[in-house]
Amino acid sequence: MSFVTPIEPNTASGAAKGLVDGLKQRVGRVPNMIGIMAHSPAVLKGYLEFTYAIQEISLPPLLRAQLGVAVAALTGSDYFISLAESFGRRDGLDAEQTAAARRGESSDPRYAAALRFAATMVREQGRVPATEVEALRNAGFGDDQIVEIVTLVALSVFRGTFNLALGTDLDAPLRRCDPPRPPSERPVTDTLAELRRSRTLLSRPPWLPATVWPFGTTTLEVDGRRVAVTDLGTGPVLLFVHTGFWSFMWRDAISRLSTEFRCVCFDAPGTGRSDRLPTGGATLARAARATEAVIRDLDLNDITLVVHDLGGPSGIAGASRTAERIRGLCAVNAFAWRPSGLPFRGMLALMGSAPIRG
Amino acid sequence: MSVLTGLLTWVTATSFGVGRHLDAPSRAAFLEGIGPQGLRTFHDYLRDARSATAVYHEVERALTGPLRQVPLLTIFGERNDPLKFQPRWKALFPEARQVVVSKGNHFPMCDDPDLVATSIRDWYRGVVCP
Repeated sequence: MSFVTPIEPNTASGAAKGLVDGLKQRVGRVPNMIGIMAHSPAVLKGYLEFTYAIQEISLPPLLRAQLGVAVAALTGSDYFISLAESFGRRDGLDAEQTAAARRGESSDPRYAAALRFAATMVREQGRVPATEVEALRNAGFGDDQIVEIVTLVALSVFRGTFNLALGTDLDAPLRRCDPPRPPSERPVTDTLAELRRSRTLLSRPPWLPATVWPFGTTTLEVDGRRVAVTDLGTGPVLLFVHTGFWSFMWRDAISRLSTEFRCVCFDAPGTGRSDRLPTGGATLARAARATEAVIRDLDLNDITLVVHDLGGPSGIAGASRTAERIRGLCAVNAFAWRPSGLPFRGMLALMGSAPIRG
Repeated sequence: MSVLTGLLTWVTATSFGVGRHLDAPSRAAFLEGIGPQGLRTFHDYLRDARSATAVYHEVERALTGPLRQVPLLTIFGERNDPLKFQPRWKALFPEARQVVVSKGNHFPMCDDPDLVATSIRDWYRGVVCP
């Protein structure tokens, strides 16, 4: 238990309430460090405004993330280490870069110079020799960036010592998330590239020229039949689930979103380019199994699920089997409850009836 | 057969459909991807949707359990929510963000892909992963 109990959002009052509620609304939770700061609204306000303001600095996000991880390791605050590494993941640090940053190292020589400076600053409690500042200049940092580096290190020391002093408990698993970024700043991870290379592309039928469907499509097997899966882009995962027709309807949306997100869609069993099913074989339970299989087979994590129509029930049921991987839900003309009421059941009955089935 | 033809027209070409903004080759490909057996499968899914008890139970458990606190965005076509799904979503997720696509129907991602993509991107940045 921390030495000061964090204030819960519903018990915050006065000036702290707006700040805490605002954070809860935006982030979905209030980290314990913030809950503790809320005891002093002035401290909380100052901290939040400062941290928001310095997001405008010119240092690249990857360097900021590495500085945070490196200084967190030096402070020894488990709370801040966890926080800094989750910020790092968010800003695109991979596991190897994070491990290196913990040791104060970086494969980028400029970043490595900044990390060496940070280590000296922390170890010597700010008494940095002039030669170390000169080393930053020689590494190509301007005075503006030197000021920013020193500020980030000092802020990191603040975060570490604040949480050490008050024994802040770790937040219940910090939500892992990954912001969308332009492709130039976003590495295609080797594992994803490898995964995609290892998959056999479904041969393109004559009726589906690349001008009409400009994506590669692969398959995986569900209940003994192939399900067609399209997986493009890198970044946080958007998984699109429709059940009834096929993935084509997502084409124009994923063309736009795949510049910043990894977009995955699939043709429900029996539809689109998935293997056909015998009449009567298509059920929502089968489509739910396909959703689950896509998530597990592609090892999708931190998923935002986008469901349409019957993809509501089938997508949510399937995804709920790995509920810990779901970060957000987007319902596009979809439902997710038992159809009740005459109009709803009547519509499904009409659309599912023998005469209209042809 | 007339019913079948009528349905395909409805699916692809009417104001309700996927195809109303598509060029001819794209519309043709969309229809090829359905095909006669795919159309039967489509109706099978709809028929099963009335009786898939286990699936609805699973969804209800998820939405009132492990998924009850995930951020929700709804996107509906302005002209296609006859069964009032949007207020039902809002009741389940009071903090939901709700976007209505002007002149949109059952496939807003086809009616206005720019707005749908922008809505998802902004919501992701602002709410899912700020």
